[in-house]
Amino acid sequence: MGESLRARIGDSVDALTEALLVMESTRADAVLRGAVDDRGERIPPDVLVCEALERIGQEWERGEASLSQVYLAAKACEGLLRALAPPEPAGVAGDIALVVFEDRHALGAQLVRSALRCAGIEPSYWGSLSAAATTARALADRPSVLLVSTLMLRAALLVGPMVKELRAAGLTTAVIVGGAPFRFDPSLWREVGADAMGRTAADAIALVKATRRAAR
Amino acid sequence: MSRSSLTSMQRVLTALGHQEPDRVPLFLPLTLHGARALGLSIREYFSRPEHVAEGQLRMLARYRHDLLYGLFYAALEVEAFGGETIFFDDGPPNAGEPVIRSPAQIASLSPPDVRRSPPLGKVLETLALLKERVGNDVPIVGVVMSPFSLPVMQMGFPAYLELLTGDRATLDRLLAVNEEFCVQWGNAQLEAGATALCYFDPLASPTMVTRALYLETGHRVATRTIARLKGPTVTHLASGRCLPIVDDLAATGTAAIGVSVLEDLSDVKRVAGRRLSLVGNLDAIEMRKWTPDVAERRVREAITRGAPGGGFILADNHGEIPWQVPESTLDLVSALVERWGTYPIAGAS
Repeated sequence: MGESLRARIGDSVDALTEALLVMESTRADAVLRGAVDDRGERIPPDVLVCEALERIGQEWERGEASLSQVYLAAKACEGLLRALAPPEPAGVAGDIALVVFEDRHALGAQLVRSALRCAGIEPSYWGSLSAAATTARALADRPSVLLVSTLMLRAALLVGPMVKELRAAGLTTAVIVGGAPFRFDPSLWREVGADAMGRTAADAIALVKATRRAAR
Repeated sequence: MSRSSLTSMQRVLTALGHQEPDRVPLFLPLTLHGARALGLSIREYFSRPEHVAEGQLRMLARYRHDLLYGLFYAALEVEAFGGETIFFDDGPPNAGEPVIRSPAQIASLSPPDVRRSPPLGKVLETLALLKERVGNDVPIVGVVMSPFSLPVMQMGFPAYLELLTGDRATLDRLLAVNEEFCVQWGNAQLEAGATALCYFDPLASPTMVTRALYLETGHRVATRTIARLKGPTVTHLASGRCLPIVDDLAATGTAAIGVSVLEDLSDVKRVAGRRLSLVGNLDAIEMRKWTPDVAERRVREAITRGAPGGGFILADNHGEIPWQVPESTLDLVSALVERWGTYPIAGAS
């Protein structure tokens, strides 16, 4: 998003962020329905939501918001956007895949899924898969973006052999990783050969959009 | 007794009394490296109390650290509730599918009988074996998951977050069951030989839930539970931030807190004062690839910021050293503590 647009909608983003952090969905809904920029033009709700989620993610990074707020804000936004503009049926973007990698703890992936949905992207959700099963599925489905959610260090390190196998098979899939091991060791994503790392769920929106743009 | 002849127990107790012992106590929370030392798979290692006790004693001898650790793996408590554990060859066992698949199940949930649970029994036997071997020379740390944080594994994080902000009666019922279990389980470990308990409460951290929500829920539970445990506790937030809730943690009656690598030990120490000792805050994720220079910098920095005046145990900030951290790095950390951790601390203000 350009800085000029960001500046024009700043007040509305402030209002929405504040409502989401205190879990006042009625207030958040009112902000979304009535938001106009400083020229009096209506601000698309998804634009506003993505900005607010990004800001909440940044607050979490700085220790000013909690993970529960990040999660509940994303869930609330999904519901509010659905009410404003029901999604088209069968809207799964087959080129964007999301996997819970070598774990059963799906909170991170669910956050990413919610954030992407708010941006109008419905990823193909593969659920919880082992490294081998993820590799096999990627080779079969050949997504253009594979979002990999991890919790444990051992899982993060297993991204490395998977990327090697995908590349050896000629796949150009952009592998975007996230999760605690990558947050605590900021150089780990490069070490395992990933194409990018998201520190927050909202980062996934920008990363997916950038990857799609680059692929065009 | 000269200062240099302190036992680990004396060293740790002196530090927890906010006095300076001979050197900074070191705690390497090693749950998996014992398996490698014994040439066993991680699954085999945890199958018998004798293995874990032997592994712990070997870690104590090799790294000359100051505490023995009774933690097998976090999912063990969920096993006691009927849950599944998934073992790996290169990392900690992990909880499988949630045992509580619907909030409706909570009405009929009851705490497992600690004395009749095979997985918990292995831990109790391990603690007894360790106590038999070290007596009162080395503190033995037992571990309980807090009643407030256990549901993340019992029902999955998303479902628990919905419950935390939803049906309060069902939440209270779940926390009450877990509180009863936690008290029984913690006290059984103390009876078996544990000197103190690590009260793992990652969800208490403002990294995870807001302070307001914590005060309404997990804080009340922690205050009640810790009062019923018959030994001292260290509250560990598993690398989550603690600074905004230091006063609240002190009010639970806990003796010490785990500090995140995301926070400055001297800031936390300033707020905690003599009410709480600090445990932390090395980053064991990063430790995997520490060079000798980085190791020295990290160890010295933590000691300089946390150790002056006592009230400090040097440890990692996650509560578990990953399998991928090489033994040579752990040897180095141990040597660095002996070099830079001798009181009075060089370079401390």
